[in-house]
Amino acid sequence: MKKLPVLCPSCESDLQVSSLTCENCNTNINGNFGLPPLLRLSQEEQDFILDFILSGGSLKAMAKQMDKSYPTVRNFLDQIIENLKKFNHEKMD
Amino acid sequence: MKKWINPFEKNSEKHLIFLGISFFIIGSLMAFFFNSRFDNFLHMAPVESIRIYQPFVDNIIILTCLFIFFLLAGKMIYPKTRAVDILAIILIGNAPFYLISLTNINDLTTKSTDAILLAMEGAPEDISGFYLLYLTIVGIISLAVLVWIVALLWNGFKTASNAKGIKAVVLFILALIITTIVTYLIPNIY
Repeated sequence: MKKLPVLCPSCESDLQVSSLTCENCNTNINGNFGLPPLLRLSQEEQDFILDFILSGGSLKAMAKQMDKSYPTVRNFLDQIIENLKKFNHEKMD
Repeated sequence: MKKWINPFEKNSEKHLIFLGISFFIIGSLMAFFFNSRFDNFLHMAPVESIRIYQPFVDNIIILTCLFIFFLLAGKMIYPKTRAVDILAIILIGNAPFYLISLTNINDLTTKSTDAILLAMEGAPEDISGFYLLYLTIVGIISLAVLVWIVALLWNGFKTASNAKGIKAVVLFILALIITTIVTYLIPNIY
């Protein structure tokens, strides 16, 4: 699957969605839509969230899967939470 | 190299605690065989005679103080800090110090110190070059071990308490200083 770019390669500002297409009838919608906070996370963080949910929200299982210690994984999750809060706050503004 | 100064990133707390307890037992036995007392944190004193339980009690006192003050510091930074992670950190972090007792093999540190003190009272020019060289090497090794211990404790503390910023550094240093003072104040009357 292609990786969704979230930062402008030129100035590193956040990218927005400007076009949505229906694969069935080719209807094209143009506009300016912000990306949801979860999609603004890095690929590594998004993968972590997906695996975390699939593991039933167990940090211990994640630690085993990632071959890292429990506090390292918990710190990574805290970092993601911090980022999500920041993105959410920006969205509210 | 990284696993020698930061084993806390990858290894589970159970694995680290098992290793740390093994080091504690081996280190205490080494201290017994080489007539060394860990009379306070980061301090080894060569002695003339020793009972087998003494280095164990020495280390238990040091590890208990480290555990209490590092857990307090960790909780102040990050309330979700787990006691089990702090236990793993202090058991592993203090382990390199057990190696210092090796410097007193055949009572060499005791003999060197005694010889130098004796020479200082009489004729300082008679100080044995061998003993001076030996104590210098011991000093360099001790310094390297000290740096290793601080690196281990800091890396572990940083991981366990998600420590960031100046507040974390200050609390870490305070935990080290308070542990040193408290272990110094506890009398070795056992």
